[in-house]
Amino acid sequence: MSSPHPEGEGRLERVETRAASPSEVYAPALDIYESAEGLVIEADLPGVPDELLEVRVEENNRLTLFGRVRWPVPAEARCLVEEIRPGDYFRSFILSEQVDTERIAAEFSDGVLRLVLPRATRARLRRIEIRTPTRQPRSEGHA
Amino acid sequence: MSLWTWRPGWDPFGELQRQVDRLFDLTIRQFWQTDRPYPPLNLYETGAEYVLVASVPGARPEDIELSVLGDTLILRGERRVRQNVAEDAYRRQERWYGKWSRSVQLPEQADANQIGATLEHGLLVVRIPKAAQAVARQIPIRVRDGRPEPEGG
Repeated sequence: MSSPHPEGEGRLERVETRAASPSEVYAPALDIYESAEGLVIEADLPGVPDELLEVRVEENNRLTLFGRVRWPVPAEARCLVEEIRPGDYFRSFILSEQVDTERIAAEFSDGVLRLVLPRATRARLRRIEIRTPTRQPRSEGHA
Repeated sequence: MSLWTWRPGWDPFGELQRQVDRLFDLTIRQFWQTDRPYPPLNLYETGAEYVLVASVPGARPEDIELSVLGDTLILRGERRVRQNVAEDAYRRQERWYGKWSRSVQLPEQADANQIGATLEHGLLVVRIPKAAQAVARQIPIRVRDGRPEPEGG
């Protein structure tokens, strides 16, 4: 999915498909694309009401999504066809330094979460270059 | 009511089995996703109605067409890919897009004239009441006033 270049544009994020608890939690399907606003993540969280969705940026630039499902059918209803196993959603990402975590914007409607991760332009200015002192030309050979 | 015996009490072995099943499901879910019909749906029965739940994240009411033909409920729709995003702008694409249709044969007792549907956070919920004669009703047993005294004695 990402470019093999360690410093290339394809290295903005790392996606982890890890469930907090494997019993009832699914990794939501998502798309990630580049846009003028930054990197956009769109994740499907059907059945999650607004108040039960949590999006956080934690330490180490870890972005986590956690959505709790409110299933519209009472548990005592008899299930005749089951293609969906109701469960919550969890997914986490490691954001690179190129994302401005202070300005991440989130929208949630119709069970789809849209996150815009703006590029941190300042990060580039703050980059500290490591220079190697000009080496003395070594005339003598080793052997 | 005997219809409701489905709900189990706490059963640690069943719970463990369900956890194993779900763990398995989590692992294979994305692998199989393309082979599964879209949208996935569940059908439930309660005392008074049938409830169909379909997972249609992102869908607006205008994206879905719901119709009944005889005893068949037909769902049609389209999940449109977001416009103005170039194909090569995608880093990851796990969601499915396209036109879909699914049909469900309604149980005999369903009253197809009374179907109601709502969209709730990306879930389509279709409620189909049972025909009046199919709803189990509690029939009160009355004691008749002035009933005759039992004979004999």
